[in-house]
Amino acid sequence: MLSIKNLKASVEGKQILNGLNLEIKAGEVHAIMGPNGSGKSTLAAVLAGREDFTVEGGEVTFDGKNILELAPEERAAEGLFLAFQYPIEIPGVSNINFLKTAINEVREYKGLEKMTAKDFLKRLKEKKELVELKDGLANRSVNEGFSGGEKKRNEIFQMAMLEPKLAILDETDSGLDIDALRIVANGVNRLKTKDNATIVITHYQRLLDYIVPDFVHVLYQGKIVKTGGKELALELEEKGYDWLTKNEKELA
Amino acid sequence: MDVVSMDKKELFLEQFRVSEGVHGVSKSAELALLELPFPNTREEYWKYTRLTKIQNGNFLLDENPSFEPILTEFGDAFTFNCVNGFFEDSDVKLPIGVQSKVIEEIRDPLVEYQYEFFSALNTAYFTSGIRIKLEPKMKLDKPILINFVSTGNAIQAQPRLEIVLGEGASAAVIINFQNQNATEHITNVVSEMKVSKNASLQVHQLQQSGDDNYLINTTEVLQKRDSKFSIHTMSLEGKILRNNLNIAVDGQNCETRLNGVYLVSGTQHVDNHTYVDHKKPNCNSSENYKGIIDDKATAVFNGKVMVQPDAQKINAFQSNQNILLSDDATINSKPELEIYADDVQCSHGSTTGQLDEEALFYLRSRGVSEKSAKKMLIRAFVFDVLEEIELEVFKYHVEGLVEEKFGV
Repeated sequence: MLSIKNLKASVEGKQILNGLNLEIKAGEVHAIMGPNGSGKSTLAAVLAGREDFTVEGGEVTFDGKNILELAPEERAAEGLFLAFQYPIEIPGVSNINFLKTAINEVREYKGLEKMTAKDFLKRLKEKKELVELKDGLANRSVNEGFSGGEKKRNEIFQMAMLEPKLAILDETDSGLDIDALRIVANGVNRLKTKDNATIVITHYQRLLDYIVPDFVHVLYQGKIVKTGGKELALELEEKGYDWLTKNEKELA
Repeated sequence: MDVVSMDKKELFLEQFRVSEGVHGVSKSAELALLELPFPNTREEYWKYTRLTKIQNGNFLLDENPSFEPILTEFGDAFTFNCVNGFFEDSDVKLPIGVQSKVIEEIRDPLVEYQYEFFSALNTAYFTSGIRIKLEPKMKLDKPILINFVSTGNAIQAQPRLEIVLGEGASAAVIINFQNQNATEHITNVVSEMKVSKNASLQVHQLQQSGDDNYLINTTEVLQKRDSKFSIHTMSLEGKILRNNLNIAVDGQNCETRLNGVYLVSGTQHVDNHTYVDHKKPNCNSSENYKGIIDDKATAVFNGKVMVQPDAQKINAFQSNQNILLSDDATINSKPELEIYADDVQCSHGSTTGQLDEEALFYLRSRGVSEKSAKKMLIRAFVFDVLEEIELEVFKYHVEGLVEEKFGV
């Protein structure tokens, strides 16, 4: 589904990704872990199409399409979704109108008719329940006055509404208490099918107790330095990153 | 007088003079015009608005305009039409307790024409005017709609409007500046509004006079005790568009609200000068103007709140916020407070920025096109100003226009 080959990217002249390779197939959950500054959020931003980042080399294909040439909205229409680490507040833009526009513009991109009001409301009700979003929140302005937990829940709610093929969760666990974490993880698990995939970017193993990955990758200095199964996350929790990165440091 | 010896101001004034002469207040205004210089950027009041194009214009009077039916989106209203400065003979059925009268001669004007060139010009040579008066306690169930229509080439229009609310009366007024294929047209209008004790007046102005035309719009308001006055000014079209809004709050327990939205693009120039004069204690005033400026357009905001000595317990709030959509767009913003009382709460602020890039990316990353995302953010920016419009038919119409203006 997603194939990243030798991806190099920089921000403000500083190279962050140094030849990253990653293959993701439908039905898989991948966790990307790594110390601060290793390039985890940069990877998420580059995939979503944030303009402050410059791709210096390599390629990213999503279902065979080169997505690096696409605008952020086109990537979304192709089925890519980024849950932000810091979802921003947009006063005056209603959550619901925004989602209605997003869904319909994605449908237009795919050559489909607009969704009927009835179908939209049905989906809205279903997905609100799925992520246990409080009734008022969907009707408010995007994230305005939401608590940290509510903002993250709103990210998963939007993901549920948009039904992406590949979701990238960027530090979705940061700032969540254990109950909120469980609700968010539960939402993600229930949205999982054999046709979609998830990338979970996280600092801590904690989230992976709830969202169980098929693969765990360690990102360090802009490259994946180790890949393993879910037990790798436990090992990292126990030993930290030093034992993995020592070798890289010596090489450098 | 020989043409060569006339200076530019004289040449300009010559186009407005009336052969039969003027009398009374109009005569003193005519005399004031001799003393007042043509407004120029050396004066603080006109510092950012250059009027050379108006000064060099050749404007004609259109004494017999044709009154075509005028279509508006404002639904059922007591409608008065004014084309090229001349009010149409009205056949509107007003309820008992409301009168409309043609202004033959100006009496007790609110506007201080002695100090301001365009107010003096209108006071001296107004083309036609009406006075609408509500008896005490009269409440209208439909808005009063004044359509100022511009049509034809290089026409000058100087209409005059007076609205007088008796004690406890209440009314909503829409002042609609509309363009019908006019070019190089100037409208210099003076509106005076007297809001008596306990009365309530809501004014809504929609300015779409056409991007080839000039509008100088002076509004003078006098509020007496326990009265409420609100004004919503929506500036969309005009080559040079200048609003002078002066409100004298001359009584206790008054509420005053001034809201404005200006959306300009191309080479448009819009200038809002507002003045709230708190003469008496225990009043609230609140002002919120928002602007979106694109291309090479320019906007000016100068809002002044005056609190006179002994006008204690005044709450005055003032805000002007702007979004520049292009590198060549300009805003000159100057909020001012002048306070001579010591027990007041006043605040003012001005901000200028661009559309939030982070918000734009967030919306786009969900599949919303750049165009729609911009539209959403622009709408969101002016949302709180539009939200305060109580007259729904006006609010909905303006909301649609905001989307249209930047929805291309």
